[in-house]
Amino acid sequence: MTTKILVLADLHGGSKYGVATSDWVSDRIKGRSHCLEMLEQFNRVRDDVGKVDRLFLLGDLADGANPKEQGKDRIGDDDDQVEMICQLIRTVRGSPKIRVVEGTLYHGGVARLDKQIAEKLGAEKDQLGNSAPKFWLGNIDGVRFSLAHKITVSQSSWQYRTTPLALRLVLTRLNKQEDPSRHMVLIRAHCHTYQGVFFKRQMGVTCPGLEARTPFGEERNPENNPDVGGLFFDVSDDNYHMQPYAKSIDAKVYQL
Amino acid sequence: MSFTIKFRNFEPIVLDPLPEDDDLEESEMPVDVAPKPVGTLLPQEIPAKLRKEGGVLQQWKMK
Repeated sequence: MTTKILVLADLHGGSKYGVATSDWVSDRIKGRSHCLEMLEQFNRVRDDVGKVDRLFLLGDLADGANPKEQGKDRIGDDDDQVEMICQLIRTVRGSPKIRVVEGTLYHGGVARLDKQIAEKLGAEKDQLGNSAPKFWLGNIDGVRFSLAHKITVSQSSWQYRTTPLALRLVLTRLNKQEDPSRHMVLIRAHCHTYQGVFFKRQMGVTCPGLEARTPFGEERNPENNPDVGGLFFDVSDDNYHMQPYAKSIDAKVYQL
Repeated sequence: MSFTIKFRNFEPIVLDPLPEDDDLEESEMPVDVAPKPVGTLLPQEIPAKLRKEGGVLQQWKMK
């Protein structure tokens, strides 16, 4: 038996820095956004993985009002953002079962755009009937998955980025969210970079996003190069293969 | 069961910075993007219906 799982997060559809399809980007906006460059990255991952059985969408799929950019990065209203992202996700091959966890309030807003997208896509619901919970803990093919959007992004030198992931793996074990008979895969997003910590039976990884460098990101942490792409899991013959798609967006260097 | 990780080398990309918003035509600028004094609510806390009616964020249509 083979199961293929694609994980995507932080698409930020509706931002001029996020992903959008060409139908939703006017000629004038093309030169004033990175939407189509991000679409190229989305297509690269989608086409490389081919048909998948499951698709995990880990939040901030639409950019919403985004007050952190003062709304200046918007290329479409909430309804357009939701519709555009749904159209894009439907191009993933294999008619996968979809599971969504909800992202941040400042992108999803009270309109809960991630939940709207989940419902439009017919995403699987949790035990409480919620198609976009904040957290999902469940078993697939003998592996326990822990899915949520947010993780702190450590910037201190000695801790660096793996510490928040390792901390969550420790807490997962201490709080008995693990199943001793299963391997554990913990996936988070939000940080727009790929990193992982790996032990014999535990794996903690962050999923790259599909958003270019933003003024908000460069104000907070200009040394941080975002990664674009996703994660791909391929389970076969009792082996769990994981392949990150993580393409760095490097800072532009100017020659004076 | 065992975990394996397949590493592939992806060449980084560099994107040109986007032009400043000031270059946009005024009619297409996101007018009044700063939160208006509607109580103490932040933009994301304003009901979607009100936002769509232009209460806080002037919607920036693409076409």
